[in-house]
Amino acid sequence: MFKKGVSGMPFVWIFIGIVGAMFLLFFIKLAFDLKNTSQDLNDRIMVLKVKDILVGASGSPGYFTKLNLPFVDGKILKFSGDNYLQIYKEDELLGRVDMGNSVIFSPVIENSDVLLWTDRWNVPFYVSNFVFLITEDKKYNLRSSTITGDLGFRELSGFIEKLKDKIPFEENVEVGGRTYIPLRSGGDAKIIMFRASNGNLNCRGSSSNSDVEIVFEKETMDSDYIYGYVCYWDKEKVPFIGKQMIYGAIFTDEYDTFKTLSELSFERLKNLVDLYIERTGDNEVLQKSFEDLKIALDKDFEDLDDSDLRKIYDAIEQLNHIHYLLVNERGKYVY
Amino acid sequence: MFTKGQLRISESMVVLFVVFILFLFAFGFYIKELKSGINDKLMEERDFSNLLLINSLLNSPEFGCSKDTVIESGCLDIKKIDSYIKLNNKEFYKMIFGESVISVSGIYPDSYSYNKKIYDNAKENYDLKIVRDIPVSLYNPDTNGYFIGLLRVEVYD
Repeated sequence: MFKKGVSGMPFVWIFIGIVGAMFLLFFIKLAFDLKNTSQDLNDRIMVLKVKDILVGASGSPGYFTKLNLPFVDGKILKFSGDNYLQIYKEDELLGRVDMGNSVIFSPVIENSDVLLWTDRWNVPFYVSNFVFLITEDKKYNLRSSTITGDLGFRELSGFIEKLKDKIPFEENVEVGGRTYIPLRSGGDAKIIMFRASNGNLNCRGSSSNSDVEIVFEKETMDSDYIYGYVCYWDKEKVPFIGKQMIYGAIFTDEYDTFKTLSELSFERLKNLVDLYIERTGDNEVLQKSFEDLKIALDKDFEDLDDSDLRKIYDAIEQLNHIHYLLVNERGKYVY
Repeated sequence: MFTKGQLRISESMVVLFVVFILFLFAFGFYIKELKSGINDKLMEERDFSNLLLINSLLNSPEFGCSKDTVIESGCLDIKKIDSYIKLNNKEFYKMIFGESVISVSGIYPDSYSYNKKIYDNAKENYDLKIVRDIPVSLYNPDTNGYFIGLLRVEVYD
């Protein structure tokens, strides 16, 4: 048995032990929480950094560069259908950020070495600067459809060659050949099939051995405002106007992302037409041309059919012609 | 009076307490430094975003002076600005300009007074506000003349 003064001693030590352990646990938990918060913030900063680079690029037209993004090494960059940039580490979502009005056409990026190219979308005035982003290991194969449509095989091949010549990703884009297998069949290259048509623009869908089919109006093939439809495998067709949108379809793997970006671009085009109608108040002829374009665009993007696209094309050509005459006559540019 | 054993225990407890207090100070200092480092990073990022917003504004087809579809660097077309204000389509442009206030004013020559608020979507309860003034060229298509202005961009976070 302990004496009276000594019997309390072990309890004091037990008490100190318990309090010490509690403090230790508290600080360990705090340290872990801090580490997680710090990691979350670093991830958020990383997502914002990538966004800044891409938004910065979208403000610089006609730009091509190879970029190394060391902070995304080992991570996956995806653009979702609602135009959010998402960064993953394996299956864990590290962060997502709204890309706003930036139009970034890109596949899933799984490499820190990326190729970036920007090009203006002019219809006929400057509307948006499209950003095309790929990694060096991606392959794209542009082919003419076996049924060339209303265009001879040689003519269609010539058209595809011209399209390819403007793309600065020389190592990644090939024309013709039948050696590649489509991505949707587990292949090694994205196969884009082209077809020209004289009216009646329809995709061939399941019968074509490709990832994306692009069918365009034959008459517009030499114009900057070429129009037609982009058909992703097993999905609804998406209307397009201008070569830049064809490039967008080539470099975007996801149907939803391509559709959202196309809609966004058309929406901005509509807003700019309204702005130019106001701005050209002192020139009735030019204002009328902008109003004609507004009427042609006055339909939901999803509901645009062949005749609507034709009307938009005609209105753009007419506006461009009138603006050209105005510049020649008065030396004044409106856009 | 305390026994020798009790004194030793009290002494150990005082030492433990002092060590604990020192440890607490060190930990507090570490947290403060960590927080300040993260804030610096965030601030740097916000600052960069502000610059990007200015860049996209100056290069936008909505405001930039254009010639043959090419946007002139550092120049705003006042007729486009006036048309934009008249249309007042704030909803669509929230995607581009976010929570910010953008205004422009003429500063030279004095005879030309021009003062317009282009976009106003200020955040009421904000943690951070970055204000930046950029000298710009303002183009008046009616007179085909240029004057000097100041573009003010306030970004809220």
